[in-house]
Amino acid sequence: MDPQHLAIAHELNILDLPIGVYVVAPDGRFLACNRSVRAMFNLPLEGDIRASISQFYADSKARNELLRKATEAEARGAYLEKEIIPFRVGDRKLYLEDYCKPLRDPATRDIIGYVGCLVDVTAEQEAEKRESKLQKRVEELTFDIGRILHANTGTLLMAQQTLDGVAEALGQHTIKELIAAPLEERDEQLLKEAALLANAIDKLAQATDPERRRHALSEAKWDALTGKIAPLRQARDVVPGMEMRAPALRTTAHQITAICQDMSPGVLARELVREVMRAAAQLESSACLVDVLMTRTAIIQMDSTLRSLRDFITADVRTYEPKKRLSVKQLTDQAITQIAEFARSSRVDIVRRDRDFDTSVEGVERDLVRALSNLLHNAIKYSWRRDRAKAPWLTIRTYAREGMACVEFENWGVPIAQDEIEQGLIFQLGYRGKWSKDRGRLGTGIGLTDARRTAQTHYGNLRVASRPSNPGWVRPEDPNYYNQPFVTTVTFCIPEALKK
Amino acid sequence: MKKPSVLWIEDSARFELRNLVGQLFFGGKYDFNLAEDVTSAIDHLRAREYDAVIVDIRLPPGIDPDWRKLYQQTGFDRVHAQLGLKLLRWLLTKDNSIHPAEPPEWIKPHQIAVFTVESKGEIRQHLDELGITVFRQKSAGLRDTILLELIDEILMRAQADASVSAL
Repeated sequence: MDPQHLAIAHELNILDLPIGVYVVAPDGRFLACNRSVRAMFNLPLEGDIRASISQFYADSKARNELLRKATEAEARGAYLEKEIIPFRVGDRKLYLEDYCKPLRDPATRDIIGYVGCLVDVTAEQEAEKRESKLQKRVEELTFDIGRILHANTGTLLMAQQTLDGVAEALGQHTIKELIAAPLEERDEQLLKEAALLANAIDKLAQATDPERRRHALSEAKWDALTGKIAPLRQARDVVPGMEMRAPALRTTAHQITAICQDMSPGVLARELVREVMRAAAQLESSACLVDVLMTRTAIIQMDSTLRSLRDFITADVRTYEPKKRLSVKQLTDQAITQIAEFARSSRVDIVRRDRDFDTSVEGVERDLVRALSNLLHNAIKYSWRRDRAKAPWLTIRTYAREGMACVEFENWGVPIAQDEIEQGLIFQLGYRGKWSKDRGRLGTGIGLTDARRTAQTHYGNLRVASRPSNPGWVRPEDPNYYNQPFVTTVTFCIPEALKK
Repeated sequence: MKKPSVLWIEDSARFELRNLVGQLFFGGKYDFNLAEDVTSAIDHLRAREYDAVIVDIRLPPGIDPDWRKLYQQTGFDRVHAQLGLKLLRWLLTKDNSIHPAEPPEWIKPHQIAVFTVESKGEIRQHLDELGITVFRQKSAGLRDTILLELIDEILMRAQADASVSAL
């Protein structure tokens, strides 16, 4: 060491160190300490200190234990280090990390004090405590949510089966037959029945002279009744959107029936009144059926979403499932079976290509089936009808390429915006695509996140592409660009298992 | 007599809440419009004056680039974006840090009701600041006449306010 540095070291006052430094008597009285320690304990920053470190211990018994540890460490030729001590300074709780060793009289070897350093770790301690509390809550929530979602799945099954019964009673066909008819056709039927009801009311009004009308019903109710003729005839324009038409027509038909029931008996032509009531009952029943079928589809969709959510949330707390050799064909079959009811109720056909292809992968069966089901669920949900004579369909292709086994889902319908793919937004948990709410298809923001995570934990990847089905028809700057149908392809790839 | 005009700004109206609008379309009592995002809501609000405007808090932005930007800044999430609240603040406080365009002049707090899944406690401070008093929380068990009740409440309050002003 050169003389200049030696002089600096010689003159160094340990109390000038940028860390809390102290010397205390065996009973804890401060013999010396620097400004950092004074600041920690709210002591005067200059001059004598008339205080003992013992008075600041949050637990008065803790000091003896600490001194014992310091002595033990000394006997091992070490010193006490990183011991976190809770102190209380006024109302404030303080966590200090202590590095300490006894000072001994060179002649008698008696302990004459303790020297040490203190580091304020209150913020870290509090953050750690918060984190541990949060972790505990997450664990509780993870456990509870599994049970809650399980219970809700049962409730949804009950609701779906009740709706099946109601639909069969209203439609006088099996649920399988009822869900086979496209909603667009049912909507057309509703519009026809609405027009028939309007005609029946019109006929009743035309055939009745004003005097008899007044005897049969108040003027306000006649106005209410005849006021429905025009909107019923123009229902397609009055209620924009097929989904809202069913409940709107159902309510109106019900109101018309109620008005007819209020009519004084024997005043008006019974056949004409009956005709109105018959037409109203038919419309109400058909509208209820449409409403029930739409709600049933929503429930089946929700059921699948809840299952997938439960699986996703409880993935870390489930019993470890080892990876095994699995057939891609069988995994795809299982995913299709799980989603079959949702596909049926959504009236989307699943078309399989490369039906004879198969290969093996190494993986966790439950996770892989869930990932494929999620992708299939999305493809069904976001499919549009493209042919009046045919139900909407999606295509599944399986193939192997460069050592990877791939399952590709292609659908025609709702777009995914390019920036959502490029920025990876679609893979963020809870992210719902800009167009995912299109036509009632509610995105949950879990499917793609989970599928990609599963692909990655199996050393694979997930690719997403979405392009207009007729490129060039609508330019990207056009506000209607995303209103046109897109072909969306999602490809799930994981390594093929080594051939035995 | 002119029918009261009503605008419902609600992105779930067409599907989940479709049963609430039935009576509005065929009742013939109101001149009813529906907007399913912020951009189309503003188009409606600029095109005419409404007697009652019912607003959801979690709304998508629609195609307007400034509202979309606001939405993007909150991670494309309707829950956190709370564009309905931002729309109300822009309309009622003319805060152009939310959107650079001038909002329509005619709209006042007494013409507005908030109908949302948030509890009142969660957004009370915002509603108080904006002077909005009519509020309903969406929850299971609501009657299918809830929308009509909200509209009537707005119209009655507007009538009461008009009577007080006339005195």
